[in-house]
Amino acid sequence: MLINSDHARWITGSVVVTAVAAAGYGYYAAASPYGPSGGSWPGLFFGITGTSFMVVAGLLSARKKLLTRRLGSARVWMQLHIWLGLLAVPFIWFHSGFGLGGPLTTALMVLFYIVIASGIFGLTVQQFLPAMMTARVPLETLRSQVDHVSAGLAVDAYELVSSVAGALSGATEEQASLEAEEQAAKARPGNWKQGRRLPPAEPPLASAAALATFYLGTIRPYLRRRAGVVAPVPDFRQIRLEATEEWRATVEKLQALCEESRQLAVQVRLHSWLHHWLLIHAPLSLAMFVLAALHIVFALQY
Amino acid sequence: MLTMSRRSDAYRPDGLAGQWLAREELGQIEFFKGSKRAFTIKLNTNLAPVANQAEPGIKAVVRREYQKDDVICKAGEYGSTAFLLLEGTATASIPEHSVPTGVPGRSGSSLARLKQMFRRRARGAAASEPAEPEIGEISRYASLSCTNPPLPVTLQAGDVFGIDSCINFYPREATVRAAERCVVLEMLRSVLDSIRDAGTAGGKVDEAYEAAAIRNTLYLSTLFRDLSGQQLDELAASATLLTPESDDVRNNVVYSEGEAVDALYLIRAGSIKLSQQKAGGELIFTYLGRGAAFGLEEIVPTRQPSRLLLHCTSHPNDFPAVAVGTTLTLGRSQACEIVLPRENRAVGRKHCRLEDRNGDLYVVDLGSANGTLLNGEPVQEAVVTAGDRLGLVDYTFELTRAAVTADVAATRFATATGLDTFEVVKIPSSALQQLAQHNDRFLASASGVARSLDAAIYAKGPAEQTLTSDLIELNLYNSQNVLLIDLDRCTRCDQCVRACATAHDGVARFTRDGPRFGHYLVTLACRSCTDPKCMVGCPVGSIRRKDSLEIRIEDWCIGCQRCANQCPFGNINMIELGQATAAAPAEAPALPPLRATVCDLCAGYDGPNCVYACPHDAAIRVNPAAFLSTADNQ
Repeated sequence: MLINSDHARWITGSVVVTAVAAAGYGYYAAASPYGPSGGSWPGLFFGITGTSFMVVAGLLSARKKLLTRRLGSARVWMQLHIWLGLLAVPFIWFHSGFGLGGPLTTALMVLFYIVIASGIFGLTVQQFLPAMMTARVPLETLRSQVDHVSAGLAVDAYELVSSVAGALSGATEEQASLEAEEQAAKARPGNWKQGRRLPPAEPPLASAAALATFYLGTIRPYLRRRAGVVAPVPDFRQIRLEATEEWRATVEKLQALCEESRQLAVQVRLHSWLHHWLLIHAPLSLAMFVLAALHIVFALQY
Repeated sequence: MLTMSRRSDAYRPDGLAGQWLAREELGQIEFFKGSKRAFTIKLNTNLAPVANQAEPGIKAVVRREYQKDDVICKAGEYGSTAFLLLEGTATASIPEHSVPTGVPGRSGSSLARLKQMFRRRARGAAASEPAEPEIGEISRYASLSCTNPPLPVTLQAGDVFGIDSCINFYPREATVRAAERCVVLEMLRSVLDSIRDAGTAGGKVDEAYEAAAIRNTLYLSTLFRDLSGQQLDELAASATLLTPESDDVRNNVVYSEGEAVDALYLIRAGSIKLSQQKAGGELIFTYLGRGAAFGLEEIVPTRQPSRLLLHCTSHPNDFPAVAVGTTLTLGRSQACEIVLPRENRAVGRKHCRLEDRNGDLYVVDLGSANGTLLNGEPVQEAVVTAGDRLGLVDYTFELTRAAVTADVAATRFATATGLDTFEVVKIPSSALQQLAQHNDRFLASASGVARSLDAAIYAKGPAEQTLTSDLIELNLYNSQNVLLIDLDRCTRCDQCVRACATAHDGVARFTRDGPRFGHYLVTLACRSCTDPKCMVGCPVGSIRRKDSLEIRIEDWCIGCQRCANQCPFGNINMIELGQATAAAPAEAPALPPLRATVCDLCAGYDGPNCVYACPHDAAIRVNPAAFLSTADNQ
């Protein structure tokens, strides 16, 4: 979520609440003969409040499961998640007296810090990575479709090359894809999104042998590389020099396909930066809540 | 895999039942003679079936009986059916105010809507007045308010009415009420189309439609609100209805730039683009939609762009005022446009130059020995405008703005081209001239409209013109409610898509992909087009606007893919239906293999779920023209 002027009230409120809480903590810490303690009334107040903030913040995951229920817009829930989550930090500090305590509380604090840090990391990357992706990947597609689109690029490249150089024996998977596509089109005619494919050249252009070699040795491996592997577009200068009038346009189209493949790899990488921090944040949040529950039970009992 | 939704039951009209006409009965009616499709296509429609009646096999036409004063159809309602009056008489009247019913898809909060209600009450807005559309709300189709309603028209047996809504998918313009007990046949568009194409009654239907279209357009037009009913009827008699198929129209061009002015036009359906052809390409001034008037050069001749004049204030008798064109050189050389006396050696041979650079006028000193002064200050190069004074030694020149002149030749200023299909009412100049001579209020009103259009065209800067071109190129001019995603905020979490799928039996109705406008993604979601192509030609009338402006596909869709093929944006998807579940009744009809799905703006929910579920405030539903014209949003 972008932190902008829409969050002004949240920022102001958080600062005010923190300042008031800090003032309260300072007074209570100074007035405590044995120093601040999590079990004292002020300490309990800070602890309960901080935990409540975390619980409400954690309810975002539940809200995300109930997508169509009118429980408040997801935007507001996200704002609550961010600001209550951050507000929990000073309250837990005040509750703990800036100490780590025993093994359980130490583990809890470590988890707490990791959760907060990962959350801040996620929030930070959300400030600039979306715009970066918009600027660097104009040919962006759905992340779930990247593999499918990439496979489609490989098939498109084979179609272009075979339309001038004839069918190539070294591209069996692409040939199989084209045949399957043709069968699917016959099974359901009038498909509103079905295009028409170029057939392989019969006979192949003799001058296009160089293109076939370049395709099999350079373009095909490039287009079939693993998703997310960012590699520069192959060098087309030599093949462009060798191109004849009949297939010069094909070379340009092939380069465009390679560029699209490169952009999709960039998209995969940026997408992982945008989302993979959740693999730390979400499960550790759950673990943190479990430990927090244990801490509450033990603290109340003992 | 999608199972057939039973929610269609909720949309059966309440109250008046009807009777499906059997094949034999249809054949007896003169109106249906010659039409093969009504007899051969088995249609499964949802038009008020009657209990305890054997299925006749053809459910394209339903027969209804109305008693005196019963409303057959109401102005402001959406409908996808036309009517044939079989027996009795009815009256059709255009009410003074009518509000299109139901505008779902609001994305504002309940609190925001409450605030708007209070604001309207505070300013004393009448309850029946259509409110201004909110951002995200589907804009109300051109206000159906008529200040001078025509006299009601009596419909006789054999008359067809309700054609406009059936064809153009706009709200009904008139309320038709039974004057006595009458029998009406209600038919879907597919049946009406077959009558118009091949039926013997086709010509009569077209004539009736054209006459009603012209008359209603004139009565509903704000341009003619000051005319009496008689004057409007006289105008209607002289007017014609133009469509892309008309003889006067070639390649969708209504008229071309430079042609003589011979008529005024009112847009009844579709959009018209006003543009000029320039050396660098087409310059689009604006596009106009339903209800707008164009071709007003007859009433207010197009003014010429105001030019700058350069005149010598120090020696006014020696130099006449000169219009500043693209380049104007001043100096002693004969090659200059303004030649200063050779004896005055202090002035350079080519002293300075005025030149136009992308619409800005610059003064450039050409290396003169004594320099050029701009408003008393020496200058090498500077932008100048009206009121500036140039000093060349002893000579002072001033720039002033020329008086605006009218082009008395009254030729077309721009080319008017239809964007896709359209209907315009053409009113010849002769009829207007007569009117203008005897009606000052009309002339004042029309002049006001003409000047507003004129000013809007000239007021557009390059940025606005680029925006207009982009809106047309992306087909956003026709879109009333577009789902935009701010790509600078969107983390590509797909919550919007998941929410859509959750709300629609697991099948998302839009794709988070599409063309871009700046940093906005124009998603592949239904745009609630003003003139939807998808609805044209549906053989079973299952894609329609029913109670409100959103487009819905009913559960009797046969999966022919016509709507999906016709949508220019690919916003209609075909999905495979699942097998009937064990819970379905045994007599459930066989399901077609495919069914069309389209965004229905989450009808039944309080606003679109995609917007509601976006945690990053990236998904918004807007009227694109209004939203994207704001500089902050570009």
